[in-house]
Amino acid sequence: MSTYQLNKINRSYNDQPVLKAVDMTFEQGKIYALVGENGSGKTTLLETLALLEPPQAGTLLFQDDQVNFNASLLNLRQQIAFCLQQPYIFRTSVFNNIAFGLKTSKEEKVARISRIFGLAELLNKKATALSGGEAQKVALARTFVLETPVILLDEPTANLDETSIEQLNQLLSEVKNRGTTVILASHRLNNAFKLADEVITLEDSQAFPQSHQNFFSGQIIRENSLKTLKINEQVSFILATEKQGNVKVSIDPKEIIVSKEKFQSSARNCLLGKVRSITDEGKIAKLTADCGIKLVSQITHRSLEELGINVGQQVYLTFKTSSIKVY
Amino acid sequence: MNSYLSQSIFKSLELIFSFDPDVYFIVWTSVRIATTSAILATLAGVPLGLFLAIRKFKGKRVVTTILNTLMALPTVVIGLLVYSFITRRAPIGSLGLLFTPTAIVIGQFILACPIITAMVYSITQGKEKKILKTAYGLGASPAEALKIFLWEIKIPLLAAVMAGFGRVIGEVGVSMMLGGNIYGLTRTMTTAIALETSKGEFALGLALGLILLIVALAVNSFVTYVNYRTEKA
Repeated sequence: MSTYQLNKINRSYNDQPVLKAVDMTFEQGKIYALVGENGSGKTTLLETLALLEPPQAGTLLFQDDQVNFNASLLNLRQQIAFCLQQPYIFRTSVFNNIAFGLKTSKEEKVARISRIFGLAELLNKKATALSGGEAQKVALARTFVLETPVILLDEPTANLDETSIEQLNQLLSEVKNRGTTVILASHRLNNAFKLADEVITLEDSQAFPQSHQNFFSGQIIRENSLKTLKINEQVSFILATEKQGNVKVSIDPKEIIVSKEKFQSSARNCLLGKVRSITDEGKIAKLTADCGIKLVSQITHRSLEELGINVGQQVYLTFKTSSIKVY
Repeated sequence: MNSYLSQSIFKSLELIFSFDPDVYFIVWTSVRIATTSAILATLAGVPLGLFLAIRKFKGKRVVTTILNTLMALPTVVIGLLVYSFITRRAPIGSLGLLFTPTAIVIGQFILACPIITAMVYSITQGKEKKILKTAYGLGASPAEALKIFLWEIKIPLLAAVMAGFGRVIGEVGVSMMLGGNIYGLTRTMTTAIALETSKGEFALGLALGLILLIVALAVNSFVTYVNYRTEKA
């Protein structure tokens, strides 16, 4: 079962598009990370998924049924818990804040979740008197305590220290094991990639699944001053990182040089691949090549013309170790 | 000090502290009418303000502009407007509303309602905007969401209501034109001050002016106190 299915979802504010024809499917029991610059539409997408704001065009399926925004959404909304960015804390006790959405066995549930977030001592305190980090934890606690099948988190790690982020990560793995779908928006890439099964990049109001943006997971296998990252049997990258073991990496498509011949350069990574597709993206073209993994590169139409590259041809894809972002 | 002035001040204090029935009846009339107007304006203005804040519709900006204009409406214009509807030959003239407390309440309602509506609307434009989203995001029903929303904005809401009350208790145009300053019926503090001063009865005007100031001070102190208590609690 898919939790959400979005078909050509459009949203705009004052005629400015915020989401443009977004197509996406969110499977149940997976953790998704939405990444993108400020204003890329992350919050708007989450609000749409929380069924707070109807899309101006397109259809949204929730648990395989089309959402009718003109009907009462209460039953559907109660399947979803949404923690807003810079959450609003109610002017009441920490306990009442956490128990806000609960209907039954409030004491028990609040006690358990507040232990996880280290809020047990603060339950009787006025919630508006808390520090930024504590308030964020209260907001997260009141979201998780509902044990809904879907959890949406907008910038959940803002104001949190490292220990709290670890607690949150642990909780996220736990709820994932229960089959909960989690969709989180984060500008802290490290955290987003660590947990996510899938990463979705929002760029220019459009959504791209991770495959478009060169996201890979692999294992660091050789320890030198430079390390080797094994993606699969055929492909490995050379990269510079302090990290060990399993990591996730991304390569900016703008940083990948496409050439027909192998050339001498300081770049340590050069892969041979076959061009699978070339798509027009306005000013630039997106070239996807199969090198044992699918690698996307951005090049100008002019370079494409001058090099005379066509689908099916073999090309070299070259990039520096510093172009690889490690998470 | 000028002996006339000092005598007047002395006499006004005497009127206040001797609990002069005339003075206090006027005060009572004023407070009664203004309270009724403010309550009615609250009952209409709060839902209107919330509707403006929550609902998205075309022409919302036009509505808020009109609202802001109405806030600055001169009281005599309201007086004139209502007068033209309730005077003998007017559409609802037969109801005999002119020069009654009800007429003042109608005028003061029109005066206070835009103020309360606009204030409630502006309250919800700040971080309070998030209250409903937060409540809905945690599975609240519309009724539950509205309940927590009103609870959260109760202090600025109270301030809005008090601002409405403050506006009507101190106005003179509506009370004069629609109430007619009738002794024992529609004579309010402001109309009495205007009349007594023009008659040269400076002391009574001064006494009522002082009481009006005290009422204003009491209203504001109350709002400040509640605000302080909430912040502290």
